[in-house]
Parts: sequence; C-alpha cells; structure tokens
Amino acid sequence: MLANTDTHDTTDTTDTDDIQLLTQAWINERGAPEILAFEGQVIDRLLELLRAQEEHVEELSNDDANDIDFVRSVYLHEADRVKFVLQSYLRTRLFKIEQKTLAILKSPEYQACLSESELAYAQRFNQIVQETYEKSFLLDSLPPSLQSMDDPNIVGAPDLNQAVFFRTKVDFGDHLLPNGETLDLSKNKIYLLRYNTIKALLKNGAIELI
Amino acid sequence: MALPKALRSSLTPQEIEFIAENQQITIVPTRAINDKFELLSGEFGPFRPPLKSKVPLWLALLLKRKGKCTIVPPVWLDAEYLEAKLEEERASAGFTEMPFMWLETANLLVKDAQDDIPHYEQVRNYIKGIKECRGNKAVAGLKFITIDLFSQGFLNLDNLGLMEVNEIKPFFAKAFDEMGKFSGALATDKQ
Repeated sequence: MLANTDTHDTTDTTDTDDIQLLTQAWINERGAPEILAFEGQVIDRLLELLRAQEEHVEELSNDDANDIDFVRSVYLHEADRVKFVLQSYLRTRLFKIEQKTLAILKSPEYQACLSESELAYAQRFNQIVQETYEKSFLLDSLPPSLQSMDDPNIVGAPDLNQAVFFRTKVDFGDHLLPNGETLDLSKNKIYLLRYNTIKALLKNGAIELI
Repeated sequence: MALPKALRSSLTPQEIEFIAENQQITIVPTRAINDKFELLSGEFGPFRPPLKSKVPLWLALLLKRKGKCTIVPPVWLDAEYLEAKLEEERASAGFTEMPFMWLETANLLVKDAQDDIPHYEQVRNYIKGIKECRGNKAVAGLKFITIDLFSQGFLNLDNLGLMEVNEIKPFFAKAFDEMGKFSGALATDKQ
C-alpha cells in the first residue's frame, strides 16, 4: 500500500523502511481474521530509533531561534505517528488474543505468532477466565461431562472463511484456487474472497489486505 | 476492550487519511528552513525557496499550515483532468483507473491546501461527482454477490480506492459470508 501507490505526482519512497513494514503489518492485522506473525524485529528497531530520535531532538541547537519550535514539532509529530501505528497494532492483536484465547493456546502455530509478553498475557487471561467460569457456574451447575473447555465450539477458532478484500503488491501471475478457478494476480488487482484461499499469499508478501 | 467496536470491521476514514499521509508529494518552500530533518522516514530539507522538494504528505501539511510552503497538487487533481474523468466514469460500466488513494489524498488537500489547487471549487465538485458515481456503481455491485458467485469463489473490484473499499467492506464482506453459507461451498471446503 505504501510502496506502490501509483498517484503520478505523489510517489512513495522506494526502499521499504521499518515504518512502512509496521504500517503494513498493522493494516494486515486489522484485516485478517486470525492473528498474524508478530513483527518483533521491526518493532525493536523502531523503538530503538525512537529512543535515539528523542535524544536527538533534545540536543537540537538553538541556531535558528525562529524555527526551532517548528523543527521540534516535526520530529515529535513523526514520533507520534509511529507510536499511533504501534499502539493500534498491539491493541488489534490483544483484541484477537482475548477473543480467541483458547484457540491460540491450543495451537503451536498460533503460539509461535505471539511475542513473549503476548503469550504471557494469553496464558494469564485464560487462567483468569477459567477460574471465573469455574467459580461462577462450571463446577457447580454443570454435570462433569459438560465441564470440559476443549469442545471446538467453546474453543471458537478464528473463522478463516471470512471474506476479506486484498490487493496484489507485485505481479504474481495466475493463481489456481482450490475450486479450479484461476485468479489473475497481476499487480494492483483487487479482490473480495475468503481468507483461507489467500492466506499463503499474504504470508509471502505478494498481497496486502485492504 | 482492546479494540473499540468501530475499528473491528474496517479501517476508519481517519485511519485511511493517516495512511495516505505517508505518500510523498512535491512542495515549494515559501520560507527558508536551514535545518535538515533527519526523520525516521528519511532525510528532508533544508528547504530553500523556490527549490522544489519531495516530502511525506503529513510533513507537507505541517509546513503548509505554518505558511512555510505551497503544495504542488498531483497531476490528476486538476479541473480539466477530473472533468474528463467524470465523463469517462459516467460512460463506463466498471470503475475507471484512479490512484489507489485518490479520494483520501484529495480530501486532505482540499481541506488544508485549497489555495494551492487551481479552480478549487470545480475540482471539489468533480471529486464529489466522481465519488458519487463510483459509489452508486459499488452499491449496485452488491447484487453480484450471489450464490452463483461461489462456483467462481471471488469478486473482482479493480480500481477501487482504499477509502472506497473500506466504505463498502462491512456490507460486502457480510453479504459474501452469508452467501457462502447458503451456497454450501463452505461445507465442502471443510472436508
């Protein structure tokens, strides 16, 4: 989305920087029904850059007294923009973790998608919910055969059949769908279809959710 | 809740404009700024009038609001071009080609940089006309989400912009999901 908008005069930076990567991860995370791989390295690098930037802003000299406030405000504005994306990204993931705690904790693949603190959050969250259920109804009111939390309907896996919009970022040629139809994935095509048919394409970066 | 309900089904218009602000745009500084901006998204400046410079749109708008630059509108944000575009859009059954973030970019510039857009009133009206024309087509497109669509499995919506997609997304995705359930396509997939 950031790298290839063809707006004639408004072109985008060609190199993919960490801000772009994080923004892309945020938009994809918002569009996907399941939790995606955590962009830990990108975030670590960005946090480090933000820290360095903060120091740099404090050291800004007062050579040009007229502009110094403005110059500072530009740096702060950019930092705020990055923090906003980061916050929304993390909150989107926490939302998914709270919604699908059991499904995530039961799947090694999903667990591998979480950061350490997200995993700790998921486990603690699950523990609290479990304890609450046990105290309030599970052990008292239900026969033992109905007390298990392992039933697939209770686990509530993410709905991978959910419809999503996506756009191709690169020329990817034709793509065969499970039903035998071919999908033309040349650059900038936009489709609405079910998430699990394009999940792999999202993972390898050929498409972006929109 | 970690994520407010309004944010769950699509990106909000504000978020989309925020994303559009990452695009680069050409400015002409009107006041010299000798400092170099060593930003995380790149180095910009120093700005010396009347040398043109490419900066992220958010920076252009900050400079603009402080009266430190004029913004050179993208070539397509032009009365003549948009007039022709509106005609083409009306004559065509599908969506004509527009930059992916045309509507959000136009909104931002119309809001904060009107005096840099020649024939601003006309431009604004054409943008509105094109938006409505395309919006009507998009709504009419909902009827293509039928049970038959599921033998095909997808709906093609080329040339829609990010803002336009997010406007129709909640309805279209829901309709698509419901039709999928009726068609039985999902049941066979789950084997």
